[in-house]
This record gives sequence, structure tokens and C-alpha cells, in this order.
Amino acid sequence: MSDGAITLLDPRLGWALLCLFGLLWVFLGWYWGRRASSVDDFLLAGRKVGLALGTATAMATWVTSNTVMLAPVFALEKGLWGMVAYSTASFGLFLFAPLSRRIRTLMPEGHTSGDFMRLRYGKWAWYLFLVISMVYSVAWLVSMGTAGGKLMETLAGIPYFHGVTAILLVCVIYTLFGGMYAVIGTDFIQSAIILAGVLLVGSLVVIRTDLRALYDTMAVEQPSLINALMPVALLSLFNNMFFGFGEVFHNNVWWSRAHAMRAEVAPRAFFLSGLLWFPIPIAAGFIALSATSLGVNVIDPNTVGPLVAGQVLGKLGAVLVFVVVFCSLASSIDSLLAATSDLLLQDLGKKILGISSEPSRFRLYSKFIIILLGFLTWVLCALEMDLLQILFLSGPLVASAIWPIIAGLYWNRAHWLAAVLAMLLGSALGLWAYFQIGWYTASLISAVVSMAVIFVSVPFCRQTFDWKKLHE
Amino acid sequence: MEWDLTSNHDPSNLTFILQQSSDASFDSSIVRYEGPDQATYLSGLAAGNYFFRVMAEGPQSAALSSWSQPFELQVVFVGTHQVILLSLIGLAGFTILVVSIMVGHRLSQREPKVLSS
Repeated sequence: MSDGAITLLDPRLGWALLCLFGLLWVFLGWYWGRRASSVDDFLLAGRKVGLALGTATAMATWVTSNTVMLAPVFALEKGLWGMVAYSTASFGLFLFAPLSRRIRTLMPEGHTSGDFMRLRYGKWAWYLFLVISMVYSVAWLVSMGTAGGKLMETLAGIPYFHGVTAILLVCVIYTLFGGMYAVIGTDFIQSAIILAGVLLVGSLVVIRTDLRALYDTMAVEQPSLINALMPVALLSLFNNMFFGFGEVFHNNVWWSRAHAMRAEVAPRAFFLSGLLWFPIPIAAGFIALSATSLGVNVIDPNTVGPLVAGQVLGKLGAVLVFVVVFCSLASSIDSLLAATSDLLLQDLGKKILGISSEPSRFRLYSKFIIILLGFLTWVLCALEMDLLQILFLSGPLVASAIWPIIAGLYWNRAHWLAAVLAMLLGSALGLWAYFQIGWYTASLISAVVSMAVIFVSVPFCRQTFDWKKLHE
Repeated sequence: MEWDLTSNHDPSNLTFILQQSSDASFDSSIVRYEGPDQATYLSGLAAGNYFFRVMAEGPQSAALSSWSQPFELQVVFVGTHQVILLSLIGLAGFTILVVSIMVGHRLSQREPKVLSS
């Protein structure tokens, strides 16, 4: 039996690993960042990222600390369907593959997802979209920072706020040095470590688990976890899927990657990254499911994955988990910092506030925004908010943007008013469902309402959009 | 689920036993936890009523306390009709979304010349 309060690693070893990998990322960020000579280089890595780097950056960005922490929580609370439900977030990457081809065709010189909303639907849809995107991006950053701080505390006894500060500091510094070049370069190494680490830990736990005993224990103590008709698990399957679609389709993290990759590479890279990502929540979830039969007492479900890995595999397992967690944190926080600063600078700064686009100043502003975002995240992380609540509250907002984006990319008769109403009504009813029914329905309701508004509006739209307007 | 000592014993030397039963008399019960922790996370229970009680043991398995008063827990799931309705809506929404993207992708591949002109 274990005590959740006892840490798995010596704090000195934890700090040593944190410093070692932190310095490595900062050095690599500086090294790769030297290639960024223009604004396009800094923000979009010169728009010529190839298949291997493109696949790795998409996969690594999508493996967040939330994946490492929440996939096991899903498995622990919702069983087998919970594991599958979390894995459906990879469907967002699969379906973004064809969208990325369309994005590159329609907007060969585009920068952000905000550019698309502004040019396709006009200012009101654009403003609303920016609000949704910023709320989600900050929520994602804060949830990652919070998860990272808690994991560092659980694994190595590093005080929560010290862990958050160290992680954010490292990510801000190397993103500042190298922009998108640094982000994509480090993502490549981080994705290899994450994939190898999670699959290794998952495999070792499977080898050391008596599957018959696991099934028998669960049948007696946790029968709902192996029930194929567990109600909340079934609902969370679709809810998570639509949440994932909303996250990927709308966020500038993915649009900036679509613009950064070579046009012919982007669809294949997104599809491959989805394939590589799919087994990760299942491996992480299985680790949590085995907790009861392995005799590991779980006190805080948010830390079940690292706790089981550390208990079963000893110090090696704890070190592996620590490194995987740090890589998954860094690979997502850097991407989000770079893409969100790009969105703020291009859309809010350049288009709304009219700041100078002179290259040296523009790059300076970009760095200032990265620091500002890092600081804002650091302050909000101090509140230690509930992880699930942070993440799933933004679900209905992003799910409401799914259909305005699909219709805007493929249909020339999607109207701006329909896009605005779809986002407003989808978000409102999704939030209502979150509080009145349960979080497991919020994104589903939002996406379906948004879809209904778009479909009903099309027959009434008499204007035909000229696709050439997207060439800016 | 958390429990605490009412006496002044040092809890670090104690073993706590958490029993679960579907009846208040605990005629048929299982041990859900046995160890030094003063909390455990419960999940995966089927719908129904459950009773829990805790006892503390000393170093040589000597009972330090009698069983606590049973704690009753009721597990209720979302209604079947609601689950079926929302699942069907989800399935329909997912199918329409995939078909729309695939059809849009196929049709859009026929218009590159129009866009680049």
C-alpha cells in the first residue's frame, strides 16, 4: 500500500532533472532559433517544415500534461470507455488533415485562424472568435501549468509554486530565443521521449499486472469500469470527441502549424500525428485501471498515473514519468505561447490596434507578448484551480466554433450572421448544459446547436463568397 | 472517502481497514482498503446503495477501535432515456461532421484553378 503524500523521487533528483532538461531546451531553443532571420521565420518557421518535424510537432503539442494526468483519471472514473473517450481527441487531428490542405490552398500567405475568421465572416464573427480562442488558450495554459506543478510536487516533492515557476520560465525563455523554429525543433525530441516513455511505462505495467486478477478485482470492486454501457462513459465519448474537434479546428496552435508546414506535407503530418497520439491515452489509462489490483491506494485521482508507475516500476519508473511529464508540458506550453502570441500580435495588435509591422519592432512585440502570456499564466496558476473544471468549461466555447470553420472553409454560402449566432447560441446552450446536466454533455450540445444554426441558415443565404478574398 | 481518529493516537503507526457492504448489517462485505492512509478514492461502483465502515488496528493487529458508524452511499446514474437520446444526437452529429468534411474535401479538389487565377 502506498501513501499519496510520500514522493516517488528525491527532491534533489527532481530538481536535477528539471535543471538538466530545462538547460537542454533553452540551449536547443537558442541553437535552432539562430535560423530565424525574418518575422515569418520566427512565427512560422519559414513555412517549409517537412513531414518528420511536422508530424512530431503536432503529436508532441497534443500530448499535454493533461493527457498524462487526465487520461488516467478518465480511466479510473469511467473505465474502458473513458480510455477510448480520451483517445477520440486524436480524431481532431485526423479530420484537421483535409482542413489543413484547404487552409493552405485558400490562404497560402495566411498567418492565423483569426485571419480566416476576419476575411471569411467579417469583424463581428472575428471579435467573438478571438474572445473564444483567448479564453480557451489561457485556460489550456493554466491547466497545463497547474497540472505540471501538481505532478512535480507528487513525483519529487518540489513545492507546487516552485515547479510551476521553473516550468514556465524554461518554456518562456526558449520560445523567446527561437520562436517557431525552437518550438518545432524541441517538439521533435520531446515527441520521441514522450512516445517511448509512455509506451515503455505502459508495457512494463502490463507485464507486471496479472490481467485475470485485474479483471476479477474490478468485477467485484469497480464493476462499472468494465461495463460497456456505463452511462456517463458513453456520453463522455461523444462529448470528448466534439471538444477535441473544437480545440483543434479553431486554435491557432494548429493553424500556425498548417501554415508552417510545406503545403503538400500538412495533411499527411496531421494524419500521422493522430495515429501516433491515439495509443497514448490508452497506455496512460491502463496504468490507472491497474491501480486497485496492484494494491496502490489512490487518494488524489489527478495523480493516479504517476503514482502507479512509480509504485510498480520503482525509481526508474518515477524518473521516466518525470521526464515524460516535463517533455509533454514543455512541448505544449511552448507551442501555445508561440501560437497565442502570434494570434494576439497579428489580430489584436496589427489589425485592431494598428501597431507597426516593421520587422524588428514586430519581433520585439512578439517577444513582449510571450513574456506577458507567461506571466499571466504564472499568476493564474497560483490560484490552483480544479483541472477538470478549467478544461471542460472552455469545451462548449470551442465546440461552438467547429461548424463556422467547416462551413467557412468549404461552403461559399455560409453567412457571417449565421457564424456569429452559431458561436453565441452554441456557447450559451453548451454552458447551460454544463451546469444543468453535466460537463459530459456541454461540448456535445454546443456543437450540435452550432451545426443546426449553420444548416438552417444556408438556404436563406443569397450571397456567394468569393474565395479570392482570403488571399490577403 | 476520508476518515479521522477521535482519540489521540499517532496515526502513522496504525492500520486502517475500510469495509464495503450492500447491507447495513455487513453480513456480506469486502475490504476496500487496508493500510496506513486516512483516505481512499472510490470509483466504478454500480448503481445502488452501499455502506462503508472503518476500524483502526495497532502495530500487532490489535484492534484499537471498534467499527465506526456505517456511512451510506447512494450511486445513481444518468437516466437511460437521456443517455440513448444524447448518444444518438452525438452519433448523428459526428456522422454529419465527417461526411461534410469528406464531401467538402472532395469537391474542393476540383476547384484549384479557380482559386489560383
